Amino acid sequence: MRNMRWLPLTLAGLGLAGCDALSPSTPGNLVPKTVAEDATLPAIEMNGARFHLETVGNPANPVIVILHGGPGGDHRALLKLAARFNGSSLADDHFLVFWDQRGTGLSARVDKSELTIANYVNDLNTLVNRYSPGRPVFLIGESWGGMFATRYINEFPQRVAGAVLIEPGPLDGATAERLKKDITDLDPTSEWLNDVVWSSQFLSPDDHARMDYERMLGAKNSQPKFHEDKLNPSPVWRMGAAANKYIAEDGQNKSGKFDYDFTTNLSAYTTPVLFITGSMSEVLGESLQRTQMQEYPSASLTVVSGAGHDVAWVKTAEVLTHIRAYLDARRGGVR
Amino acid sequence: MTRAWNMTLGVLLASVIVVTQAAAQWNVARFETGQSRVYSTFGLDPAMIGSVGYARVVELGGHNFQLNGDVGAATSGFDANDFRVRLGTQTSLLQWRSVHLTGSATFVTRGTDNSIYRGINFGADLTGALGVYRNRWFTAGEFGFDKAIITHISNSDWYKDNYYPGAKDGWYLDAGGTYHYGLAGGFTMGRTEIVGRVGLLRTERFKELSTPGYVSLGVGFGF
Repeated sequence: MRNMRWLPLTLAGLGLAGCDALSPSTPGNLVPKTVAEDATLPAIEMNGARFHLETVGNPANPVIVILHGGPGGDHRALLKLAARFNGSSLADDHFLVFWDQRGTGLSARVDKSELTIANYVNDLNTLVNRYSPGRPVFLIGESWGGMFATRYINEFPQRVAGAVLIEPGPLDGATAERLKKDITDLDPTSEWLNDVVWSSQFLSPDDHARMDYERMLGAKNSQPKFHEDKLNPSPVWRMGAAANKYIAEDGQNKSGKFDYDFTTNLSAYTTPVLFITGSMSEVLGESLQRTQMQEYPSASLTVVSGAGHDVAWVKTAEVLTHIRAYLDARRGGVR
Repeated sequence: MTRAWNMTLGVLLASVIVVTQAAAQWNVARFETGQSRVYSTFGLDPAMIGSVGYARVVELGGHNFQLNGDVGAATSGFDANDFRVRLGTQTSLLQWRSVHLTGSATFVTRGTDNSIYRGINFGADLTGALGVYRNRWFTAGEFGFDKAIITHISNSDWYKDNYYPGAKDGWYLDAGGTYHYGLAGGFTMGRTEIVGRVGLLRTERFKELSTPGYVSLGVGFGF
């Protein structure tokens, strides 16, 4: 029986641990608190939801609205676009609006019924009218943000003075269907995918916090063809798992196939648009963007060498140089 | 074929080879006091996992209970960090002719080490099955609940450094639970029994999981 002495000690230890245990569902334990739980975070109320939003610069200057990726990502990594490089910052002569889209990042979580593309477009339009009433804005969109910008331009071309699209995802459902198997590595033997399903026994996806935490399991290895920096990955506060799922589903038909089309009215938008891509990016890289830029009547493409899909994060100075040149060329159009 | 698939097939073949002289397991109609078994299972449950185990039937109050223990590891890349240890018992609760209502209770310890956290979890699985159990075969419908009672999570440096520095390490209570329901069946060849399970998985709030179902194959050798 001497060997059994560990048993009551272990049980007592587990009992004490249970008394002092944490809840995986409590915001702040595994994922950060959102503006719904932390009143110190900068936030605005808009269209019945609470959003995390930060602005940089003089509100009198032309407005640039930044659209982050995902769906379900946040604007944390894109804050670098406000930084000063080579003595210059976009905020010197623009008013930058960074925000986390509905249900993502540090914005409040919402019911899945609110996670629709129509609501997203309405949110952006409300934001544009709030910060730039009567004057068109510039949009900078990364990945999903580039798709979102295109979707907005498609509906409200007169409200957009120009756009920089950094490796936008597929602008129509047919392209999304063609590329989806290359966007995410779904090999059933891949370790990241097995980590995800194995983890479901530890944290079952029964609430937002657990879903968002486990969503991070794919951050490192799920998209190898994006060639992103794994040692210094572009950061997010929180991946909005629900937003990722339901916004994507909103672009699908009942059979689960993507059938959206964000390009139906782009011919009406004759303003030049700048596309930027990383030279190492395979799926959403130069080849795709050369095709997608054809959807716009006037578009140019810049390829930044030595970067993957996270080009705005790893080559920020170079990306800003191209954005600055684009904005300078557009100067006068909005003042 | 990929290297991973070759390894997967290797594990499957090894499972079969190890138990080519096997006798029955899991079929309550064949439980005999004092009988021992070694067994191996492989399947998607919920990740790809292979396991080996030992079982012995004991009599308690005139009733046969199979006590079993097994260890398993995720076979994708032979990731020993993703492991499972189970200690449990299975018995026939009610019988009418060849129809049995069986019950099993299993204490489960699981471990994982992935890009965002390292975890160890203590839980329990309760499963009931109703079916026909004959000497050479059985088929049953099963319904069970696997509860992660308490889980220790250590967030990785990678997660803390790049995403959320405030992530809390510690014991997490009531972090997960999974219902599983489906069909089980098996047949006997000499002292070997081959069993299979297939079914669906749902969370404790009956939501879908990333792996919607499970399928596993087991072979046992009695002596």
